[in-house]
Amino acid sequence: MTSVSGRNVRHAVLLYGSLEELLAAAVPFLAAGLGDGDAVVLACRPEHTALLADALGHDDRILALDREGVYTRSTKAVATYRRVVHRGVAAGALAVRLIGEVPVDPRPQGWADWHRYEAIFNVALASLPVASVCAYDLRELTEPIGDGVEQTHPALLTPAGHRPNDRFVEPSIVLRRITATPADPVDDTPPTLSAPDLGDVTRLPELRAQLRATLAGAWWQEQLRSDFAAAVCEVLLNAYRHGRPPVAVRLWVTPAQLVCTVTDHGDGFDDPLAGYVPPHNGPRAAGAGLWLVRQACDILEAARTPTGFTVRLTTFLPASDAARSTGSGTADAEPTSVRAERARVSAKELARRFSLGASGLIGDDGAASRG
Amino acid sequence: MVVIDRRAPGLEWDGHLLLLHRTEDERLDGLTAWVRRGLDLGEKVIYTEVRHQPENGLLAVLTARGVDVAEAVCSGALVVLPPREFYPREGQQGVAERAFAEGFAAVRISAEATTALSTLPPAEVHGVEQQIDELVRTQPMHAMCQYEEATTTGPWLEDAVSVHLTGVRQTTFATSQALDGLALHGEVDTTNTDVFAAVMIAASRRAPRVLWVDLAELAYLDAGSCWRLDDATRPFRAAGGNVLLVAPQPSVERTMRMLEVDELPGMHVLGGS
Repeated sequence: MTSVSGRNVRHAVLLYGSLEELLAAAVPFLAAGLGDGDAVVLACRPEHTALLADALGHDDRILALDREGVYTRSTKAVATYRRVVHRGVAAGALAVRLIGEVPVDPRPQGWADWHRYEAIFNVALASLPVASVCAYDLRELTEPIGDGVEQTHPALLTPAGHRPNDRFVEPSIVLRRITATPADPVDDTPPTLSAPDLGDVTRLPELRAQLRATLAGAWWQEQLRSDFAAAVCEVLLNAYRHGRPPVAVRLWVTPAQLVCTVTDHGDGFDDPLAGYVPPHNGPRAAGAGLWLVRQACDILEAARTPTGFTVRLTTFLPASDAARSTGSGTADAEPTSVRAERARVSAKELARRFSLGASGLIGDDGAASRG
Repeated sequence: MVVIDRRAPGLEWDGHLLLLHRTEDERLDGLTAWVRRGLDLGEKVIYTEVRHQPENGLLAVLTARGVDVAEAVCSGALVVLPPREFYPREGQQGVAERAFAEGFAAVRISAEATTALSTLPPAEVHGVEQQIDELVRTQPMHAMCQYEEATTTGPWLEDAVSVHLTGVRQTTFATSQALDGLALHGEVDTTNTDVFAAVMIAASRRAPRVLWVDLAELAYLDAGSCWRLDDATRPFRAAGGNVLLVAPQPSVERTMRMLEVDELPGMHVLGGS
């Protein structure tokens, strides 16, 4: 690789066999970034993050993230890193250099989502000023995981710097090879909600109301359920907009999972990158719906079947104790009016910071101004 | 299906309203509620219409929907004028003043856009709407302008929304005046995202430096509409303006954050969490 500092290398892998090897490769890369005016983000094991921060002199531009909080799910990790880069640049950094340690789960289905993450990182952050390094301890890698790691990084980082990785495989090809986590079979059981013949897009508000009513559940699952409803609505809209009627919806609600199939009679899509390319990167509004769907549910599968084109969404529901302890949906335990008032107070403070004082906010003709 | 609570503050049938109706039933439901509100408050209700059959006219519609039309007409509280009298050359100030002279404390007027177009050139309709808007803001007056949603598109929609910014009434979406700006109600998806975009365009054109949008009563915003929000406010934000998206419901806030709306320059999501 010709880049000396590594800023132009979007996604590299650092394969280390010892702590010394990790530091020998990572520290020069990160230190060069600080020298170039970049921000540094660390999402490694806590002990590695501490050592790297020590070696870099605890510069104010270093942001240490909780690794377990970042690597919860592939699409959420991508969203977190996109946000971190946006904010770093907004704070004045020229670019962001990040180093993270992706969890390694030797079970095939445990690795599948992180394998997917490594592939989609290449497209999801392609337009951002970021130089990323994924560090893996070679002693933890099985052969299939090692292969997956090498195939998803276009560059290698060594103590001598970056060099191209000739084992890199295009993300779309990698994604086709990764099988989805199989959900519990529910399709042969009676659905909780079935709408077999939906005529046109004007039915969307009515369907949303039906979905909301069917998905209503315990407050600690509210966030998962409402995100799932949003995902279903976006898939429905795609079916109306890009597919052919009639559109059929089947929804299963079990204590362990939410599953929904949306079937239309169109040709569907066959792009493994669908929903992984940020909408900003493409034509206006194109892909915005599937980008949301990928984040709002656990699994999106799409297939042509004898009855048409079917998109199947799944979200796994945690046990109540687990959900409560992770705080999923805790905001809903608070009255919405309290939350809204707190938001308005914050907004007024922000408005004051924009030097508005007490004058009208949306207009000066009295149509919607403060007195 | 309809999630708008018409009893919510700001969503009464008062002020300068734009009734965007999808069906005739929807139009007549809204019109009946609007007339009933005026009669209940002791106001004078002045209407105009082009009807070839009396059974299709306002009085027949109200009667069928349980309004005591005979008493209202006898007392002078309800009158249907021909379009030429409803839209006099000198404007509607005189129409209102005659009602006040009769002893009514307030007056409300309503017509369909097609009725206005039967007597006014299309280019003059927006000017009349602006005059009505001025009257509503300065006199004890209310006005409801009825537009068919299917034919109210493009610049025609933007003009209509701009003079009724805090009084839009659509099937599943509405606007009102919030203490600190504009409040949105209901749901926004592909079926009404053009109306939503027109509202945001008009609001950002009117805002001097900060556009305050209260989202506490907005129950749904789809992904495509997040981009319409970006597009509609971009010129305002590019000129240094800031959009405050205040008190969104948790699901709406998560949608906006997943779509990175809060990362756009000049866009601020204040969720209160």
